[in-house]
Amino acid sequence: MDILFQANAFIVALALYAGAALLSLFAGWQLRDGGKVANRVAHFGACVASLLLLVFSIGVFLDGEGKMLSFASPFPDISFAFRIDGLSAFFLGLIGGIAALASWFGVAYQKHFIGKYDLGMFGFFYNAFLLGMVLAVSANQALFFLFSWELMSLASYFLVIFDREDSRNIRAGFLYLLMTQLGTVFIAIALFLAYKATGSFDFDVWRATGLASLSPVWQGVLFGSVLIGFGTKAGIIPLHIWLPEAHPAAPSHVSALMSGVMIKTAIFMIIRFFFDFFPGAPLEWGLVILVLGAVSSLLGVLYALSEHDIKRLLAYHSVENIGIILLGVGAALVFAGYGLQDFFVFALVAALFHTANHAIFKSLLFLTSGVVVGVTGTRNMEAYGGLIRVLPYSAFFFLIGSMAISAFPPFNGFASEWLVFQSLFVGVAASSLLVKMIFLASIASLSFTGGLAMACFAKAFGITFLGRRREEHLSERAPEKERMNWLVHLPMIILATLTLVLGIGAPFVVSFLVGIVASLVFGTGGETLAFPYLQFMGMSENFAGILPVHGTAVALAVFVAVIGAVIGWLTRKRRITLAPTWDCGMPLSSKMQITATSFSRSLVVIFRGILRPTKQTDVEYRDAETRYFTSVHSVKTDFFDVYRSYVFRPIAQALGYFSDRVKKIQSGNVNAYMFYVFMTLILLLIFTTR
Amino acid sequence: MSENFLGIFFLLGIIAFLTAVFMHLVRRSRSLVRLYALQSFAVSMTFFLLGFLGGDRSLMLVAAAIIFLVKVIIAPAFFGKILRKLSGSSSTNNYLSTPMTLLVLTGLVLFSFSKVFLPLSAIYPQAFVSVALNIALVFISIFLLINRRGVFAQMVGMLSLENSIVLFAAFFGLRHPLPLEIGMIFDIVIWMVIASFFLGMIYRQFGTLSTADMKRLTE
Repeated sequence: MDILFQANAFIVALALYAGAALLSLFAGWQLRDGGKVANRVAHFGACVASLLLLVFSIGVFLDGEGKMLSFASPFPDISFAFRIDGLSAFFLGLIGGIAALASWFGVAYQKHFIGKYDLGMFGFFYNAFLLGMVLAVSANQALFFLFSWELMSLASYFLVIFDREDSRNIRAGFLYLLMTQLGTVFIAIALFLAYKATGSFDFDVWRATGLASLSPVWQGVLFGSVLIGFGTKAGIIPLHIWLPEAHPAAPSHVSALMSGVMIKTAIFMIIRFFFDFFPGAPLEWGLVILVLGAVSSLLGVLYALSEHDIKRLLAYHSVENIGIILLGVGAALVFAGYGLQDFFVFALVAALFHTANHAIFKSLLFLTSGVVVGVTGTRNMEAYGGLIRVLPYSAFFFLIGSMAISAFPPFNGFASEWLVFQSLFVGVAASSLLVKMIFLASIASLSFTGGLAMACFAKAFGITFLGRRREEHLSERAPEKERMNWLVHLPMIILATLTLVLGIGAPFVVSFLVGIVASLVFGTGGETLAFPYLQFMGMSENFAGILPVHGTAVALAVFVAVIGAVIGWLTRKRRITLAPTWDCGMPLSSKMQITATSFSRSLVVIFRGILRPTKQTDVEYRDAETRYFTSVHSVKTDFFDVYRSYVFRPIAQALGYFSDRVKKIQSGNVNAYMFYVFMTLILLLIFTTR
Repeated sequence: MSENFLGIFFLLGIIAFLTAVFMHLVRRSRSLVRLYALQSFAVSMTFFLLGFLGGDRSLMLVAAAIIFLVKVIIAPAFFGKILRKLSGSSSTNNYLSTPMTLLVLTGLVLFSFSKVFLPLSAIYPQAFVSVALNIALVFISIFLLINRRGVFAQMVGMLSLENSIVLFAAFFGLRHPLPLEIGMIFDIVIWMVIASFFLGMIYRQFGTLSTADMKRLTE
């Protein structure tokens, strides 16, 4: 087993991803089987590589030593340098675990695309996407990182537009590409600013010298660039607009990966920049991140609540959860600014814990929603209803995921949100009124978020799985009751179990995460994880118990079990009688039950100032002239898109206006172009010899 | 390098520089070709002298011979043949008038002698004037591409620019190995053939070789 813990395993995993990508492309190209073999090669290859990666990252923690690897590159200024410290290993484990399960699921899920699309090409981009993510969190050189980041982004673009017959997917892909490239521009600015400060692209040099040598103005530019660049990928409001478009467009297991782990790579880099490369970052940066986190979490869940497309709903919850993670990151930065190391560690641990938890329950929800969409053929929740009878297993797993994301104890979502809450409560004790107010607002936002998430998933589960079937034709698509299929359900079983295990075992997970954060921050150089984190666990006395695993909790559990047993024994002879619901003598119809729109209506009305709902009614009459008898009465509800209207459209218009003006220099005269080249040369000469 | 040889190099540099200046002033394309041949002769002589004085004598002499053969003999003959074919459009104008052109050329020479290029004097501290002159030659060649309306003049301007860069590199010890030099010369020959071919196509399409009449290329 030792070999798996060595760096060789990491290299083998990378080679497996690359091999699976090429083999699947080759199989899709050469074999005339509609992509059957290519599909298996791509997903099983990715699954094996991801499992190896997971084992390797566990090995790093067991070994207690980080790994450093470097390979020469034929390109100037680029070296293929890897650094797998505690933080990298944590994210690698997350990517490996989720990717292994998603790939396993993908074997069965992609079957309905066999013969329809080129699955060899899909397999190529799927493995390239995974490879890009792995490289992005292990690269130790700026230009190599940028290459990995672009590989991840571009490969995921091709996955988003995979189902290209739907023009909405093409549009979603274009928006995603546009936003991701916008993010890359800012990331490049941040990397080059760091180069300006250190004179090197080597992350180790950045760590050693820090980026504090930049002037305050450039530091501000660096902060803004990091936040916009990585915030675009993470889906921070208002840079999130690609997320609810692109995640639903991709196949469900890809959505699980994009939402579960890809957007977390941005969180990884934000942590790297602000805690690893720039220790001692200004306190105000933390406050800005706190505000953005509070806004993203609250608005994310509100938009989710107003959604009726099940995958868009889940995508908006990603925005919400990224907001929660940022609350932890922001609080950590503020505590670091105050020099409160204990609290700083716990806030960052809360952020990391929620990162892992969100990856798990969101993947579970995307996979189950994939089954629902596959059976019904639509993402519109208004067409669902009563699916629990057809999809009992998927309904059960969706319920588990819903409870976890709604922060129900004892699931993992509760544990990490509770930890974030506690971190925020500490901040309220700050001496500055502004800091105090921001922490208070963050707490209020998180409280709202928790409640609204619960309402949202009550709607999602209730409308989808309970009640009566709304669209009768859907019965024809799913004539048989769902059977246990290991290819489909095994990942769900593992993910659902993990939500419970990580929730109940939260104290152990936290102590493990404290080790990671401590090794990152407190001068162990990241090469060794043997940090005495148990000392830091002593400060847990400052906090409430994360989960009741103590004596009182056990007593409570025993009490509940005894009461349950007594009630069960007393009512054992009571018979259950099934009878139709009384509805005043009318025939029962699915139209009598509450819809997703009506379920969320009251909350939408309360938050109408933010959500800006719009309503368009249309009536058609049987008698056009007298207009007594209506034939069709339709109501179309929508929401005013504030971000497109007030943020992106004005920017696009300004760019268009500027481009029109700039176009005038494009005269078509070659002499004029030579003149531009010449003037540029002169100006550069003057600038460089200044 | 003795003072005498420095003087000769300076003289050759002056010849190359003056040919570039006169390229702006002449109207007839045939005169342009002659000036280019003279400039190339100065370049090949510089290579010859460097080969004669330096350690790797044979290589530089071979390079000088190839430059002489291609740029002083073959290229002018080739261009002469093209000009005979396109006799109707062998004369072109500048965008700027002659006084204005001279004014800009003066500005470029002054800029070449400015402190912007002082760091370059470290290459050859004894001959800053030659350094500046070479830089001026580069600028004046680029300006030829900007100022002349004729496609043919622009082709000659491009070759003059190449001459100026080769001269700069050779004179200041930045010379390339012989295979690279031969590769560049081969490149120029191919470029001339292709450019001539396109020249013919452009003439057939537009009935002119004036870039001012080709503004609609973008549409």
